[in-house]
Amino acid sequence: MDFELLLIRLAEAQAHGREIIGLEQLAQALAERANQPLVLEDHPWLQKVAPRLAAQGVTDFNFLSEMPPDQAGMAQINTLVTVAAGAIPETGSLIITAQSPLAFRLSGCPRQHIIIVPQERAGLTLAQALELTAQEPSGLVSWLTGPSRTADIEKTLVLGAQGAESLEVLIYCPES
Amino acid sequence: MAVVYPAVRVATHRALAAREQLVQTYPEWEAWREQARTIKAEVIAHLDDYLEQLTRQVQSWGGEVIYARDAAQARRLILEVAGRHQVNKVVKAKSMTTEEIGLNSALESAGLSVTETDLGEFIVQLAGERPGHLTAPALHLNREQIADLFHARLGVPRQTDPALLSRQGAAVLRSSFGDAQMGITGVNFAAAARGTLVMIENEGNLRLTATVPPVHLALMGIEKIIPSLADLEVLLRLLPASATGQRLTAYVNFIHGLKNQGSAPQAFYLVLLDNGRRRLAAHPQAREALYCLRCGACLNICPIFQLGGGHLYGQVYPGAIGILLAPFLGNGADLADLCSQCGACSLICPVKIDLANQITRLRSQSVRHQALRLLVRATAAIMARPRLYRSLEPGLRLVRNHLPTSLQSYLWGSGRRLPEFAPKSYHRSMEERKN
Repeated sequence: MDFELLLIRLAEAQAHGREIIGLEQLAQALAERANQPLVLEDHPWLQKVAPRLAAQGVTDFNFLSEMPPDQAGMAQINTLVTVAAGAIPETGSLIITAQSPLAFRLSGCPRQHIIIVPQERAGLTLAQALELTAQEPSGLVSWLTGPSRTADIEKTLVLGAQGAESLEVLIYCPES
Repeated sequence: MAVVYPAVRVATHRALAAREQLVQTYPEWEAWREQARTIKAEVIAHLDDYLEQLTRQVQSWGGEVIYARDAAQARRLILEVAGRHQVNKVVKAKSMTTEEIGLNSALESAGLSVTETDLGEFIVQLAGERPGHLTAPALHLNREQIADLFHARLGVPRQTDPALLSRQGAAVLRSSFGDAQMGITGVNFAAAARGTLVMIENEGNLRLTATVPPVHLALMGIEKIIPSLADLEVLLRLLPASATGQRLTAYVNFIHGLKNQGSAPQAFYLVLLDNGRRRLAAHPQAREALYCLRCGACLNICPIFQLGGGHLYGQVYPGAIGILLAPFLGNGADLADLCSQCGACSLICPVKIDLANQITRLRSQSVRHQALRLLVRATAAIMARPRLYRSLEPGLRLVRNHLPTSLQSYLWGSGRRLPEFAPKSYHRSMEERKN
């Protein structure tokens, strides 16, 4: 599959995108970010990647389920790693849902958000994405296009004032 | 002349340039406009059926639906909801509809604290002003003014870098989400088919407003309905492009279910606001004003708006669309003269509302406009004849300087001041200097 358009649109929206094949590469990509504490969604892929992270000497990471309960959901997470339901190349958007309610809630304000999108769902048309969204059983969906931004002061673009300051997208294919 | 905000011209031009750059790359743009107009026309023509379907669907996923006839009823019902959940702190995401019903002052009068969490709205709230633009509320303020405001009201060191100013504001806002019991947002689209509410934004504050406090209340004008999410394929391409030149805003939030936050009780309320919209929908010529997506492109392109800013109109909705909505959604204000009839608004509107001709229609029916025109013509005739002018000048000065405020704002609009005569005419001053 060709992800050229998605990568272009991600860059236009000031997000970073790259293709990742297999757990080894995934562990490497996450380890590159491990100068900050990582918080991982409790997703099978991330559970599989955890031992490899440890093997690479990355120790400062937690799964969301290990976090202290935070009713308000305003915990400041440095680097949050979640798995998206799909991506829309036309707009450079990632689709995230509340199937993991805590991951959805905490994705509101991490400093950095790393989103893993399954390769086979990374080529959705706008129409397909709307269909998927309409059918979403959790009832809560957000499409993210680049990091949080404001231009409220003299139309000057400022990234990450309220939500994620950086958005990194890993287009992931599990088998190597 | 009215108060002129130099920042408005810069900001509107920037928004227009960004829009133009993107729209150029869309060969299907005209076809999308046509499709979007058809979608909105269908809904407005069968508003009751869609309202009923939307109500049923939102109830089916656990939301409570409240119908409000007018602004006063909407305020009362929202206060009831706040009372039911013992709310004393409210966070709000930017919503013109809440401005329309004067919600903030109603909540504050009832003793609730209200924080606007969109950065631009927060700035405007701190300044004690009304938003000056549909999508960029603080458009009329420059960085120096905002730096002064933050320094005075937030006690932060004064500095003028927009990035640092944004962070100073966000740091204050951040603490407000956690202890609010209710979040209030607007709605951009409501898909009747599954009762999905769609809310677009760039900062992420709307998402926090909707998901962090236990109670979420969304207020929408009844014209925001669309048949199904599939209709967004064109509408989502048109709206952010027209507003800011973005392919899509940083966040598009969809809600058709209650949030799950463990043991905390969650509630969702949808308030459907009429406030003159049904009357507008029933008006065969004027109803197309209800197709509006509130992108603000007709404000940005308007030479009058660029010069005078949003407050010139003295209404919640400024610009060309504001002129069309005022007779129905506001206090019935007649703003039909705030138009140079250049026609640019009709060309830029993403749902092809024929704004320019609609304004001309309103103007032809406007008694005020006729009176104003007569006055302007008479003034021109007098001023073109120096001798006549000189003989009438003391009388004209007397009339102008004793014109009752009510008559002045009737003729000239509440957002503008009719220029006053100088104490002494230039001609007289020169005569005196010679002697």
